[in-house]
Amino acid sequence: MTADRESSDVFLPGPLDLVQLEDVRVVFDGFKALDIHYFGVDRNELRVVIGPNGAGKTTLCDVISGKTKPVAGRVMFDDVDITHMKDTAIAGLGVGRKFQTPTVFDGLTVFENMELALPASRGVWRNLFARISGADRDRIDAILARVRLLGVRDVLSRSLSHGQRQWLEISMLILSGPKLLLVDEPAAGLTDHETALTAELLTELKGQHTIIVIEHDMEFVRRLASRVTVLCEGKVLADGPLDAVQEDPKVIEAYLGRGKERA
Amino acid sequence: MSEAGASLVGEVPAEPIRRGDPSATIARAAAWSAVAILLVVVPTLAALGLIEPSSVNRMGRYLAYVLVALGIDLIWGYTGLLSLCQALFFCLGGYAIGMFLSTAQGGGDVRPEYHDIPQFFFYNDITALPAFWRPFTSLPVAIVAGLAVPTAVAALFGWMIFRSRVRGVYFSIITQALAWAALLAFTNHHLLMGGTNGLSNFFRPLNNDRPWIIGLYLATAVAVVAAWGFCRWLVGTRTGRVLIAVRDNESRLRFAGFQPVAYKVFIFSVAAFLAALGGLLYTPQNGVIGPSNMSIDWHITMVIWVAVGGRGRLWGAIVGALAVNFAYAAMTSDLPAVWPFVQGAMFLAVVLFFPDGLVGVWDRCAALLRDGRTTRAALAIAPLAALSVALAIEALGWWPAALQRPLPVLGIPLKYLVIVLGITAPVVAGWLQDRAVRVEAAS
Repeated sequence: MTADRESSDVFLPGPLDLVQLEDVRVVFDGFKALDIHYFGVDRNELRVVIGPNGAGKTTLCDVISGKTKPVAGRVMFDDVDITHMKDTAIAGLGVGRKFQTPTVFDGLTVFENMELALPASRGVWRNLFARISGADRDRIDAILARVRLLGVRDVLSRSLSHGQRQWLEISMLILSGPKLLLVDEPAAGLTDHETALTAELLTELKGQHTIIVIEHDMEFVRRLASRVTVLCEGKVLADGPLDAVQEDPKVIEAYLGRGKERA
Repeated sequence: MSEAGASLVGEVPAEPIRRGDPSATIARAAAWSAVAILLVVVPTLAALGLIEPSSVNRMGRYLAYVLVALGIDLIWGYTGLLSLCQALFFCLGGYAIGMFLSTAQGGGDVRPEYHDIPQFFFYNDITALPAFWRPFTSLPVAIVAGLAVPTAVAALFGWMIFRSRVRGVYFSIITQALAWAALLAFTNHHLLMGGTNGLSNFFRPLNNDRPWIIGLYLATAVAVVAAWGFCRWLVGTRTGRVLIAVRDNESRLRFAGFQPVAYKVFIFSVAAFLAALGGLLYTPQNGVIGPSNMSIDWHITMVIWVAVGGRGRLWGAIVGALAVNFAYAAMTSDLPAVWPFVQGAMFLAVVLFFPDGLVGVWDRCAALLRDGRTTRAALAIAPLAALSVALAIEALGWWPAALQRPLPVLGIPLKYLVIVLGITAPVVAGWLQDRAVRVEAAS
């Protein structure tokens, strides 16, 4: 707790931050999964959140996307209090989420998956008579070309490789035009080639979208070359460029240096 | 980098079904001939007296089942919700038209000694038509109510279930409970719906006179073709894609901003509507509708039709409902004791070996055709063809007397030997050919 107090003045709330978590606490069966004094991400920023297992990284994503409700605190998104809003309503405000395991709709083709991500009506009746416009078709094809999926646009997504599914899901998120992209462990289970391509994709998006990336893979984090927030036991431990963060003694002690302690 | 990307894309063979694909051509031809047979060939043959009226009547009743199966395919095959109460909606439609048909206005067999109202009211000591029966003396009201009530019940019930995020097997159990409650209600004499016996004593010519039989058959066949066209359109819309998305990953769909509840309520209502339409057309052809038409095993039997045909594809539901029912009709008339075993074996075979049902057999054939292995494709489709021919002969009632004669040894009619041979011979031949190809490849 004292460490938190000490470091809290380092993370002054930015008034323009798109996402703001203030004094947010999440408790699972008495276990404090998240205890954040302040966490904010600026517009069009690419922020990487790292931390050891159980640090609360995914819980952070869950809180922003409305999957988990905090027991205390306030979550603001684009100047709207979303603390008690439903997940679908938060999605409607423009929070797009990419889950840890790629989740695309297996029984639909790549193109049909993209069609469902179009920022169009979500109603049953409207969609009975919805026809895709030429402009939307071109946009989908352009994004698919960028993620190297144009060649498989009419293939059922169940037959895609793991990496292709990750890119399809990221493409769906980009297409839906969210104000914020939550990307949970995009490099998990990817080959080196795929990891490199994914990093390239995310850096391409930097500056046009606000993105929060959660990641384990340090090599991948380095490639993203962005501001890093370190979470540990539900708390924000450090914040800054990767190199600075890695030299922070608190981080070394809590995260990188655990092995040394034991040795 | 681009090289890596290209090689990754290369992992998946991009094989969209091309125009001029042999299997697509065959499928299109088969669909159009099926429509022609249903709407033109069968009625003509029936009018010429080449098909017995009883066979036409049976075809009409089984086509009414096809409507239910299409609904089950939409909700289970496409949307992944296993509803075990479709026979209830079927019966609600059936009871509505049954009410009309049993009144004097509907030509029902009413008698002065029973106060000119349906005879079963005698047991309730009722001498005048109850108030809630009176609107059903009008055919349009009976038809509209027969379609609207089940659809509304499904919408309301579905909204209550899906809103509380009841999913998977729990949904199935709740629908089964609803079906059970309805069965108890309809069995009760105080509901004034005929109790255990249900409604009968309809206008007699409906299932006795040839013109009525052919007319009702034709109405059902038109309804099936229309419903099939409607379902095809529905699954091709963006709403149809959302239904598949509900099946594949509902929570992902919610994070994309969709409300799965609305889609589930919608498709549950559509499936109920189709089932009700089936019941509406079935009842006059059957001559009776009762609680036995919504018994617990009957809901499950309906699901088996779709499982056997192949879920997630519309023609699978159609073929499945017809195949299982004609097989049932044939076997229960020749070998009634054997049918439960055949049905059990069929279900096991689908669960264990053919998860895609009869559709899967065709898919395998289509893949072989695309590879240019024409002979092997013919062998793969031959068992299905043999089965279709046998069932078609059964449907038309055209078995030659020689094949109907029981064999001296087992007492089984000769036709079953022919059918079993017709199915197993190509399977064995195909297996032998596969082995020959493997041996050749190895050497």
